Amino acid sequence: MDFFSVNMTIRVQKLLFWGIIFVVFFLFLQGQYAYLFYYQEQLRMFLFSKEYALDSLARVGGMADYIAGFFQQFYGLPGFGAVFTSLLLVACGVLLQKLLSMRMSKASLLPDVLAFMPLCGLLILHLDVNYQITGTLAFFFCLVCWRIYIASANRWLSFSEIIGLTSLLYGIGGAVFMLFVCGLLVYECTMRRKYWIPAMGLLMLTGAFWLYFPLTQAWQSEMRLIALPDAYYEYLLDAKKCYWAWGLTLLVILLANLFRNRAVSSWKMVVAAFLLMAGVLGKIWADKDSILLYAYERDYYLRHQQWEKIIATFPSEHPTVPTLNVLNLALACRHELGDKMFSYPQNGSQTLVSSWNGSLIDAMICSDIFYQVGDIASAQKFAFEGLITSTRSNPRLLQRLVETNIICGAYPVAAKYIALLEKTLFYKDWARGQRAYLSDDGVRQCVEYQSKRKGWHNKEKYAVSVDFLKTLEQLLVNNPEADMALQYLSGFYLLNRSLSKFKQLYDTYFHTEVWRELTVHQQEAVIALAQDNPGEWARMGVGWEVEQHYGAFSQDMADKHNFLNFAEEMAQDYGNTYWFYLLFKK
Amino acid sequence: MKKILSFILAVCLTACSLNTTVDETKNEAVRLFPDYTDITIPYNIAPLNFSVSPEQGEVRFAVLEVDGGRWVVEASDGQIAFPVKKWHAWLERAKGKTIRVTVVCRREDKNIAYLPYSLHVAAEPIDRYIAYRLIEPGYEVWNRMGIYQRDLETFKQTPILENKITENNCVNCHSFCNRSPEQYVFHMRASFGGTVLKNGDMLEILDTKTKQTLSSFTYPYWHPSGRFIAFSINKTTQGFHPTQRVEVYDVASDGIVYDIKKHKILSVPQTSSAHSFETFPSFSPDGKYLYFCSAPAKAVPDSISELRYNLCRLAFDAETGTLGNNVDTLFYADQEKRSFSFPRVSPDGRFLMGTVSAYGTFPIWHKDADLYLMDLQARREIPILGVNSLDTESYHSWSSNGRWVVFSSRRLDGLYTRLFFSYVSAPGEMEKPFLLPLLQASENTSCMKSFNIPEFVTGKVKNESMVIRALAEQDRVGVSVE
Repeated sequence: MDFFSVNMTIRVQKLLFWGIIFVVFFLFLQGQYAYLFYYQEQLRMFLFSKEYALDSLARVGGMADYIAGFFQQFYGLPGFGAVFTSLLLVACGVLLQKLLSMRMSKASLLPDVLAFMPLCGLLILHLDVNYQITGTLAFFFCLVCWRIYIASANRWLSFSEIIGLTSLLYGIGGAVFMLFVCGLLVYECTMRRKYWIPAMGLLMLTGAFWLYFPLTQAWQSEMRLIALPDAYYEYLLDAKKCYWAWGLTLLVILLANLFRNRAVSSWKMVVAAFLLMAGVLGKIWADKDSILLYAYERDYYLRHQQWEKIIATFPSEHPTVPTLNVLNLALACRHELGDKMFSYPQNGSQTLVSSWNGSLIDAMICSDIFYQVGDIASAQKFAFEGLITSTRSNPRLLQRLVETNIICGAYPVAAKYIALLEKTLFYKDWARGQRAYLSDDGVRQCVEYQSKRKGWHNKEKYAVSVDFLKTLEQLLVNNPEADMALQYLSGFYLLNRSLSKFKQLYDTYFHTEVWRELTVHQQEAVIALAQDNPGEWARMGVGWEVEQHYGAFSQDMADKHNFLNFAEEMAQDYGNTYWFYLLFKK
Repeated sequence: MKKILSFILAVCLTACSLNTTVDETKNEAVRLFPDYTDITIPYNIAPLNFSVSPEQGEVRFAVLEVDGGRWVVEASDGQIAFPVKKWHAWLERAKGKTIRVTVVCRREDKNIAYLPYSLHVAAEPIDRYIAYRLIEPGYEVWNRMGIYQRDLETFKQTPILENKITENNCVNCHSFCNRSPEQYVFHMRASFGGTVLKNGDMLEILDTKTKQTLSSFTYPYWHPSGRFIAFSINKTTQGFHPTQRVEVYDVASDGIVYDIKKHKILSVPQTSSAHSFETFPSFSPDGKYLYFCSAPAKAVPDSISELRYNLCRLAFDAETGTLGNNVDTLFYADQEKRSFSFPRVSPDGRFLMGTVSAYGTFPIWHKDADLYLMDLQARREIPILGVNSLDTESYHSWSSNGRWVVFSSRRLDGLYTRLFFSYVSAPGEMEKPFLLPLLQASENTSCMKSFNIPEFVTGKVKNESMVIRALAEQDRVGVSVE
């Protein structure tokens, strides 16, 4: 079938047009942003309860928000985020083109190409975690309301629709009522139907009412959050990128009037659409923040404890501190931190655990690190702080709070969180299973909880302190079988070049049940401490291979120290050793 | 046709009508959530809706009886929810009397009636509103919070100020003069920092930091005349605690008296010693005494377990704005091996309520924290064992008629602070406390915030948050030291 054939109905052309857009969107999103959707899934918790529904729907914009939350919970399913986003955008596009077609030639793809333009703005927003998909659902509601209004034959009825639909949109969609009003102002101004001036006056009055009334009721303090797309963006951040979609929508309404009698051939429209799509996707691709995208991917692996993946995908060309934090956690969970830490670009103890920067993603990293290490108090703290930061709750952090409260014996609090998670679709089974551990006997049945509790509290000694190193040391003593604390504590001293502290640790705990054998880097540190006593190394726990390696290292240090590229030369063979880190790493 | 329709209607009505027969009577107490059994309630309180423990079956109906009257309330959505109007009519009728409540549940295909319990309806009303802050029981970070008021006769909660109006800042330490909605104070921190003071028609935002004082104003308490406010000034810090999660303590604190008219901090060396920590000032209802807590200064956090606060008072002359010099100690912390916080004198001046815990000054995080009631005339403790729990009881407030107390407690789950009410008789006996009424029992689970600093208010506080926001964008009113 020839796409451009005059026998090809316009309907089929439109179907193909939007079908291709759907497919391209889906492939692009799934191919490049799959992990973004997984990350977004945990940013809100949708509850199947009457109370939650009533609370949500009672708020301004609640209907759009409720539906958004319903669909967002499925983002954890592979491919769903990309499918849903593509479908939603295409649905908006199809509806918009139907509106434009009421003004323009129906036998043309021009309305479709015009309708595609605002979708580009929406697509960019959907790639930003600070954007609420509520905004796009509200946009869809706006399109529906426009359709109702424009299709209204009775002019007097349309006046009551101005008030009714604007108010309805404010209630169910929020700030999008202003887009509705502005769109109709453009429409009425260009159409000049009967009574268009009173209609515009009524539009402005109704719009002004819903702009000012919330201020008088102290529902909001800023107009931008009442009537601008800022309402669908993280409110403390600059939301200017949200304005493109609305601006383009108003523009295409205007253009629809300007081009209303134009008939453009389909192939030109397809080319135009293709160029536009290629331009937008190309721009997104060119401007993409690879570090941020990897952060989402990394978060997915962290959440599912896929340590091998974390190690395999480590981006050595852009090693950020959080990425190193997660990498080191992965190495430690595989008991490889002490052997492989310096194969990666470490730089001080911040690469083990850094100070919290106040972001949610960092709170989740901190909570995971502290939990795995056994510092339950800190794990709980960061889970709680992260939960507070999450405006729409966070099921992942709630799970962590269930775990930490069970470990600490705060069973009623754990039960509270379990009761909430039981009202979700994807967490209820896990939550129900946790009820078995809401007692000391129950905890004893769970190896993980039992081990973590032992580390947290043994023989009246709690591993709780504002000083993380003190906590680590207490963890070693409380639960010698769990070696994460030892990996981290010795790692801290090595990364900070605190050889005296490392020696103290070594003297206190080596050759006890807490510390039975040295890892590669610990052996390297022992050599660094006792360079002048090679005869003692074997007794001190240094193995033959490391000894040999040090022999080669010291030889090369002597031979190559005059080389111009001395550091690079040494890095080639010894870059993954503690000695290189000590001597060359700034 | 008509007959057929009538028949169908009759069948439907029969199918829908409540079966109030009781198949079995169990000699077992019914377990409600919230626990509203055998309590004393005000006649103007909102309906005490409740659910029943699932082990006892599915709740079907409750029967209320008093004075020959009988009211059967059918359960819906797994709970007994009383219609508001009829509930109030019943309580009005039962004023000064005791309502007998029988709960019937369905279990194993039988309607089982449990042992009836009592609701004694006091003749004295409770103040219509309480104000509180809603905030997560967290560590350092906050997000959305606000100061709210709740109409105790209904379930309606409305904001006094929500921080979404003021750029997500921290709002805290609200206090009302004699429970008046027209005179209050609270602080804002971070964005728009300052102390909001409303005094009738006057609304101003103060900058309370001065060179001579440790910090900005902290815990407030109004003088009944409305002319002065006592504040503490605290340097507070916090850290982890092995079993309590958090430990909060002052490294220094003083008490001051602020003259609202003159915008001056009155000189009060008696409560500003460098050798002791003074905090939680409060005036007696007649305005003649300033109560406060005082502890010898200690190095914290190392010696925190030895840091215990006495309860003291000084005479106060409202005419001159001066404090007396003789410190009267009413509670000796080291002897009692307990630390005193939040002294609050009852409106008739007869009793003083406080919070005691093993040490320290931030009892909400101390599981051993309990309410403490003192007979001020006899200067002795009145035992109130039935009121305290094994978990935290902390901040409290007296109603205007002195018959009701609202207090914070973490007894339900150990973390999320909830509000409880207790009746206090004229001789000082406190009745079993009951939870702030909930429209749905499940609200307790879904509410992820703590109720903080409950204060009775005799009328509805007008929401002036937009005015406060506009004022906060202008310069602050400075205060100075006398």
